[in-house]
Amino acid sequence: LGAVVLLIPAISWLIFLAMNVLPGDVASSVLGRETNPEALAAFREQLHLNDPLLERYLDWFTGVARGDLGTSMSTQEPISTLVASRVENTLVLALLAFFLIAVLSLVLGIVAGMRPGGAVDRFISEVALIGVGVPDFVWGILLASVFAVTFKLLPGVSVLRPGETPLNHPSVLVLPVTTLVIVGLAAALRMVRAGFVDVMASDYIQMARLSGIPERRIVLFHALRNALAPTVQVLALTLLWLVGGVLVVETVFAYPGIGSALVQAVQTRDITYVQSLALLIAITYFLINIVADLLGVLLVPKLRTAG
Amino acid sequence: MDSLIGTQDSDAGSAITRRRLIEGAVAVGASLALPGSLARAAKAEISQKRGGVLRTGHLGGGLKETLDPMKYIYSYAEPVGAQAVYDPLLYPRFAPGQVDIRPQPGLALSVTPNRDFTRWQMLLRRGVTFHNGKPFTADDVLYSFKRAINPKNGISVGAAFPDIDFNRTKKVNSHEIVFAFKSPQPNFDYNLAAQWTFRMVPSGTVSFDPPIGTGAFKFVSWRRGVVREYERNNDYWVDGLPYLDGLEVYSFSDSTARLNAFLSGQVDVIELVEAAAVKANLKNSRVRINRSQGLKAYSFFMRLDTSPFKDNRVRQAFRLATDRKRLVDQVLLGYGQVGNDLWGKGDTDYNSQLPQRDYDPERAKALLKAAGQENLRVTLLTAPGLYVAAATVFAQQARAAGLRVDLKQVPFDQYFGNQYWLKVGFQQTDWGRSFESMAVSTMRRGSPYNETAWRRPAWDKRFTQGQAYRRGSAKRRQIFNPLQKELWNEGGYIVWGYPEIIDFAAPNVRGLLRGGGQGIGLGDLRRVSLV
Repeated sequence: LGAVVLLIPAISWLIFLAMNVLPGDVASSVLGRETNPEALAAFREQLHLNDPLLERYLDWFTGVARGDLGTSMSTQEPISTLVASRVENTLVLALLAFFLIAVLSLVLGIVAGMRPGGAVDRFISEVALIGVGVPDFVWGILLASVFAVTFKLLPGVSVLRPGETPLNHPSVLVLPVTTLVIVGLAAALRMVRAGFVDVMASDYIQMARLSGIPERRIVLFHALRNALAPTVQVLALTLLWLVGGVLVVETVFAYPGIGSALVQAVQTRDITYVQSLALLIAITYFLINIVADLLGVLLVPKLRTAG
Repeated sequence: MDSLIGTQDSDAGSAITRRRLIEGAVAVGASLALPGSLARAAKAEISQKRGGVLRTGHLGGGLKETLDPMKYIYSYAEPVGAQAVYDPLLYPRFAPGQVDIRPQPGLALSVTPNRDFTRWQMLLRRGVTFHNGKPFTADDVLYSFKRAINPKNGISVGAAFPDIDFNRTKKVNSHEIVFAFKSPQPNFDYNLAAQWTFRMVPSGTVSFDPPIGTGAFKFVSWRRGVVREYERNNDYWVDGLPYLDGLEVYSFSDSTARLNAFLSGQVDVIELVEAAAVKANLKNSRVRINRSQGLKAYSFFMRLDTSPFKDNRVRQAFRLATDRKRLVDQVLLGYGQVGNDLWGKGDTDYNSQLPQRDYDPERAKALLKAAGQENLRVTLLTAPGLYVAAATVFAQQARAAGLRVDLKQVPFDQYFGNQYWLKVGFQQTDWGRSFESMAVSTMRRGSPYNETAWRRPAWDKRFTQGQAYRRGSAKRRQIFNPLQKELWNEGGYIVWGYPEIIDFAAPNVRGLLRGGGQGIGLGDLRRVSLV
């Protein structure tokens, strides 16, 4: 945990450096091609772009440490108000997808792992391969063109009026969530299955079988708990992947979340906005990892003494 | 197939003939009151249906979007918003697929010059109020001008109104102004109509959130870079307008998402659609494809102060090594017209008497040899999207003339940043301007964007002389035509194509007219209706 406290400033410095080393200038980006030197100079001054690098970093980081994400360079609004609703929207999307992936991967992984090499297993694994073999944006476009454009069953993009959130129109969530589930499920499912197969082949399960305990009871009471430990790690990885995966899917479906905000911020060269978003995402990564580790320890007593 | 690509609607056809009739009479007088046309407009209104909310889709400007009607640059969602809330002093004439800036009354009823064009008297419409109830007066007009012209505000439209002498400009009464100028301005009224994106804001405005104007729609709310919402202004100064109850203006950061939104019926109109999407939907009966031609053109340019382009034989070789027809066919998929190395095709000032320059790699080769530049190898600066597509096609064409063209691609925000633009010898650009406006911005002394490093005092002098005549006059043409010929022979631009401006509209959208072949935001949404 101590390492994390040190890591966050280090990461923030890296993010800051990377953003400032990259070419591109927010002032000329915002003011555009048909501007004049006076307006450019005034705008740069206003953004403190002429101050020394270290000073700008400290300004930003001390602000972040106090919970103030700073002011967007392009809109001059506080970043916290800009991202608040978007964080919420992304959470809705990511958690919904995560929940579905978790449940489906567990159920399907166990069903497939019960008879490794059987017809059911082969079917599930092969379908999963298709899911993971095609990139998320292709799935997104494919689903949109079939369900939104051709059959007009579901909205192809999140067209929301001001003040509305995706929860006002749950139908806009269907396609993005489905895309995430298709791609995320495949990877998670295969890992859950592998873990379960390992457990089912272990000595104590053999022992249980020999003792005449019914197969259903073996799966639910003996195997499941031990298979859960690697599964938690797998699901943590899935969650980490989702943090990045929503970025692409949000853009394809014009979903108003963190991902599309990041894309907009990068396009505008809005350094402070990108920095703050990147830092938020980095912190999320840390938190997910920590929670996953703690859960793993809770579930597998062996790990409690090892560390 | 052709019937699907038909112009706008039945009204549009009559607009063309009407335009031709009036054009025959060459109405260049400065008086603007046209009761006849107003009566016709009133008649057309009755046949339109009231009500409904129009949803439009645009490629958005993301975080850069603004509600300030004079500052928009990045997204055509912004001009839609500006047009909804604010009115201009003069409108252009809206005709499908044409550039027609003969002035129509807006918030100004008339604009009349004195004999030597150093003073213009402007009469303003009475009884107009802003959305907050404040009456519209001369103070608002003067404030809007001063705000646009102050360079610190970085408003590019301000440059269209040079040499206003505010010390001698007088407010005669609450609805009359006499503008005084430091130099003769024979086309002040045309400039106002051409820059009808220059809209009147209430005197003293510094914050535009919420925007307050006199326009046909009132601002309701927005989410920056995502959506804007407007409702009908029931007290609008034209009775019966607008037809719509409201507007929802959506910005997309991805063109596929925008196309999907349209094809799945979530928005009614998308504008400036990519040629590939047009081609794919030619036979789609649920899509009305509106095509028009504007001033916008794509060009390569060579800097006259940089080797090897100092030598006009080299420039001429590059011009002849460009196959404009194939560029239009391959890059614009045929949706466009071939350029002739000059800007402003379709505008009155355009020199249409010059022959079309054709692809002639053999002559190009000979010219390069004469200039001692055989096996010349140059680098062309390019940017993603259409620029690099054009650059790639050109590089192939130029090979036939023995030219080797290497491409150097940089992102768009850097492309027009101060590291490259106006610095590299061979580049690409696009503008949607008339000859006069291009000369002011990019050619004469003191131009802010002299892309081709065109510096010729004698040319400048003649240009200033030409500017002193009314648009459309023979004297102006006598001066401007040779100036364009000189550019055609010796300039640095290779203007290869004028793209068509294409919208998709749902079959129930009527009256979608716009000026200058631009996005629908630069049109007249007051007369759009849903049937």
